[in-house]
Amino acid sequence: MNHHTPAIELIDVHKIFHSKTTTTHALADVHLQMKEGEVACLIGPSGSGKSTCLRTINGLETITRGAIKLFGTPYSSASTAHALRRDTAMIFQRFELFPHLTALENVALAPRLREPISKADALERASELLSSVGLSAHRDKFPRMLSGGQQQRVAIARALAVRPRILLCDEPTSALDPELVDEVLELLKAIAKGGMTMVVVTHEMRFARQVSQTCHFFDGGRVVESGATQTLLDRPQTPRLQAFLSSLQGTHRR
Amino acid sequence: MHEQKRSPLWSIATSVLIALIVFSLWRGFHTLDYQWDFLSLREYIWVSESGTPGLLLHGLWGTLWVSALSIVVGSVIGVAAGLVLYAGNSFAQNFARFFVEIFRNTPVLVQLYVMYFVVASAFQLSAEQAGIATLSLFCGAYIAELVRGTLLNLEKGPQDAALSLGLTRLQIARHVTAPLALRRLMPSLVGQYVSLVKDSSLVSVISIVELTKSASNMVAISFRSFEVWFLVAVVYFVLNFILSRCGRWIEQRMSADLQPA
Repeated sequence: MNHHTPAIELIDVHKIFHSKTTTTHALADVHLQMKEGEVACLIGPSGSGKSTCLRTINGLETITRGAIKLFGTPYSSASTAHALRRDTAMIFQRFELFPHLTALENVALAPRLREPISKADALERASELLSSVGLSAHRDKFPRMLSGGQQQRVAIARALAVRPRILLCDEPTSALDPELVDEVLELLKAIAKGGMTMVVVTHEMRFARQVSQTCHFFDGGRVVESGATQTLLDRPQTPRLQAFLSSLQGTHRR
Repeated sequence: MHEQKRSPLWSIATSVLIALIVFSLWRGFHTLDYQWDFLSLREYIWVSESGTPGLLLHGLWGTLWVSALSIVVGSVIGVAAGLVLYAGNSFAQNFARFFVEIFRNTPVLVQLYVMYFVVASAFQLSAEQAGIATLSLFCGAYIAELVRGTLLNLEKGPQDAALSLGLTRLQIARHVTAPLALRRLMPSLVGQYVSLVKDSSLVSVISIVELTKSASNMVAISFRSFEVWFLVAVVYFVLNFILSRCGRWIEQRMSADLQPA
């Protein structure tokens, strides 16, 4: 792999949602580039397109126009989309664990189905990952018996189990009770330190400062401002980002 | 199993209701002034002289195999049509929709007659084949709607998660969607099966030997219509009770995560 090939490249991406009465331009003219090992945060008000943007990167959302390349390979058909999805894994706001499987089975399912390994090996890997996120004691519990923070940590273990090159996180702590936020953020920080390429949609500005090198501010489906995280958050250039950041300070968000 | 607390009013209301039913039955039978004789039905259950099963058991066997076969074939048709309604192309969807509407919105009795006198003549089908085909299609039409509705209302999150993990459509269907959909489907599916067992009595009109047909014959011979129909009702009840219980058991097996720890 050429070191200069970006890990993620979005070129002139547009996404238009059509309903019977309205046409929504969820993403317009989005250009993004990320190096391998980079951690980027997507910030912006709700409905600004940041989650949609994240979902286009692993093909959960198709794009209306433009191109998406992962490690230089563009998404073109359903089959390449499937192949590229193998390089990414995703963490969701509402965890989205498989409710009918135990924590261990949740983590083991994808490796067992995707890779030529035995069920025992898949369970072994899952077991190691669960202990790395501190949940060995809960491996045989079903998701609904776990707290939100524990569920999200299972979801992280499940994402890591497919050994992704890119980890996509969609508001990973927004659905958590405040006291459970840190256990998830600490874990994500550790993964970032390990050199994982990550895209994180977040409202946690403190977290963004601590782990991300770059930040992209979305508003109205467009990337309004991009830059190094410290600079962007300390010296916002556009009035819209200034307004967004001061609105966050008005609330108890960090 | 956990007991639910109910207000004492509930048990009082239930007692009153049971008392009312018992009273009206007792009064009805009293006014009827009928000499009950259930023992005379023994010969229809088991012919002691020849040591062979009687009419009732023959009928029961008929009901069992007609229902079982219709349930199996109907489920296959229903799941297939349901999947088409949920995710087929528009031509296939229209076709499935047409099938479902025809079989849901016309009486089974008419469907049976048409199948037996028109379709069966055209294709040289036996009465049994025509009967089972009708019940299967009828049952399938209802199951198709259940399947479509269940899939439509299933939360999409776990499916998205599976997709994001790089699983194929088929793997997701097999390991995520099917188990989650099936346990949602179970209660209404069992309800459908219970209905089908009862509706199987209708195939007696095209002279298939099953419980209801046997009962009419027993009445014709014995003139003991009250006893015969009561007995037959009890047999249907027991059949369906067992069916419901099996359904409940399977449902619980499939939802280990929903059981209280």
